[in-house]
Amino acid sequence: MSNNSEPVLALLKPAATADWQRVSAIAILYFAVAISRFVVGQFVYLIPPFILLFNRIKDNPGPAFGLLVGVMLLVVIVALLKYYYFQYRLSSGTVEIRSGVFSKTYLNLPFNRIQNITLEQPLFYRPGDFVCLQLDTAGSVKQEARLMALRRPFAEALKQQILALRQTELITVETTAADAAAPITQVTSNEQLLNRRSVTDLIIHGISNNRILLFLGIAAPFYNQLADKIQQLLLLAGVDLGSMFDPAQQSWLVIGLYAISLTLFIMLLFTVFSVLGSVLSFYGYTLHKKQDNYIRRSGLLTRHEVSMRLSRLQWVVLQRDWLDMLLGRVNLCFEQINGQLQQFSSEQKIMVPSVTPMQAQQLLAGAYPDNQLSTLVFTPISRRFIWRCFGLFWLPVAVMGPSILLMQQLPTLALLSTVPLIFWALLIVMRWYRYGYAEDPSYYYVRRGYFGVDYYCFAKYKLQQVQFKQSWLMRRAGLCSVKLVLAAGALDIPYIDAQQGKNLLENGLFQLQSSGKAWM
Amino acid sequence: MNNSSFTNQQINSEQLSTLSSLQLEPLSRRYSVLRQQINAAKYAVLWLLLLLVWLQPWLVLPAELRQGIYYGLFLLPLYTLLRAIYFWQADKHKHFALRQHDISYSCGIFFRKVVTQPVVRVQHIELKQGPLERRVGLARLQLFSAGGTLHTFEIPGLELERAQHIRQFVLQHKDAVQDEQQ
Repeated sequence: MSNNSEPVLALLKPAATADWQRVSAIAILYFAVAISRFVVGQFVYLIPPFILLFNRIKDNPGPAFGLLVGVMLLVVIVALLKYYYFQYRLSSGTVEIRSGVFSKTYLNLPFNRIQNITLEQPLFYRPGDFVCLQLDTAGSVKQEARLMALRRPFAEALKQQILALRQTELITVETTAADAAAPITQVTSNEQLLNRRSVTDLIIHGISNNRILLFLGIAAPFYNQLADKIQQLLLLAGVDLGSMFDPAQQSWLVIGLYAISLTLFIMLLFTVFSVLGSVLSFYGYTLHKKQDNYIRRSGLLTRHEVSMRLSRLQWVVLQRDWLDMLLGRVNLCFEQINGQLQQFSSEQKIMVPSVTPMQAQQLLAGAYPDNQLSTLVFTPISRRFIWRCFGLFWLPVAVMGPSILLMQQLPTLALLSTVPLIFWALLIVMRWYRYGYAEDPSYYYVRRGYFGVDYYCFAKYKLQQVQFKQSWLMRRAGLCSVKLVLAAGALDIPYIDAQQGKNLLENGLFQLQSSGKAWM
Repeated sequence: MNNSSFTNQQINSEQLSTLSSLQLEPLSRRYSVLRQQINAAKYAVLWLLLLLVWLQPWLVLPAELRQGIYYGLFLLPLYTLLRAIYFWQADKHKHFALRQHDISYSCGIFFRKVVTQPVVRVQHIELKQGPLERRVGLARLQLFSAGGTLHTFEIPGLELERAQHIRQFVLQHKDAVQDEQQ
């Protein structure tokens, strides 16, 4: 099966002749960085005492310096050992990896078990054009293979080989035609650019979506220093937060003004960080389509490349936060199987940040040509949803909370507590208002959200399981809730007409069982 | 998709509209009995322990604790009885149904829930037996799909033979086998 694409043929000798080989030597640096990160992560709580002891260390730098050199030496040695013991072998459609210094690991991964191929290029791999190739399976996180440092052309060729193998297998299985060779000649066709994001788009994305976590994740080891630095800087600039908020020194009005301006300032700061995070992770964003594969490339420092087969796609989500609605943007997400064991679930999906509604429509049509999201009318859910939420959760809290505060002789607080209560009530009503569902012969559409709105669109045959739920009161009112379970997650549609709910599930099951299509 | 060529559909809609029209099969009688026995035995032991603490002459207990134990001696049997009634009712509402292409399981007294698992989407099957279940020849059947561990489909309280039959049915399902080959 693998003798169709010529260029990589040489890589894939039969098992007997293949030799164990090492990745490029630059992987030592990769290991060193990984170990350093681990060390910093382990001892991050030691940083404050170090800062406290800083003066004493300055007087007597010897031991501290020695310690530092010792740690660095250890990192280098471990990295060297890890590199030395990391060997891989490619043979007849499998990749084998031997690794581990003390506890040895042997991994055998057949290409046809590979679900995802991710190419990652940290900053220090750029000059030599190396990449880290990550091969994921649908199974556990332990079953993933990482080839730390490969030359880019080699990695690309290997990737093509694996994808081509999947392609041929699928074709032979699905059509069971005698000559599967015909479609494979197209494997070498070029990538088609679907979308590209400019820095302006990314800034908009950073403003409308909180990408601060992306930034914080990168900056994690430096928090404490940063917080201390900021406080010192503020003190240097003559700002003393403690005295500013002391009611003995300031009038309430001034404190209020300070509080507002400080909040604004913090929000501004957050937005700046969020924009930074967005640009860092999505810089140079491109989305390509090649055959049935979607390929996402992005990243300022570490370049990520994620590819996903269209058949792996479970659902498409169009997310619009309220800020997105103001700015006229949509985040489009192609989600595949939700590996709970994956370290970063974001790596499993392909997100297209802050596209215009028009572009989102095109991308969606690219994946699901016959979808009708733009023309559909969503069926709202029953108003009883509101009464349920009010009666069961809101009302008890709304009665108990303020009355307890009043009994404690705290009338101001009791009055103030109505603000979050009103906001909560608003949330409930908005939740009801946003909920909606629709179906056509081959797709389900679910709309939900609070102030923003998310649209889920997925093919019926992707269903994994369905649930039909009815409480005693709902049965009397002729209502039901349904739950649609997919490999990417589960969606509830509460408080809909019981008959419609049944039909919804019926149609889905019928599609799924009669079409005989595989879900991935 | 023309409906005429696919016979499953008609039965399908009837099943969900009136659950009685699809022959819902109850769980094994032994399951309910076993649950009652476990409930009774567990709380009987607890009650005896409590009684032992109440009667023992060696340790002088604080007055509040003695008071608590005294109430406990009355409340515990009441609670056990309530649990027994609940189990009795709950077990009466547990049913399952097999169709050509899917398995359904329904349960719930006030909050009724019908879970339907298409056989094509089953990834793997487990038959589980605890020590007590083994004694009375019962088994739990678990069907795993890609929907995640949260959505594992489980039918408890099946006679072992029946559970094995269902497992065989799922394994021999034409589509499931096809899926596996891929």
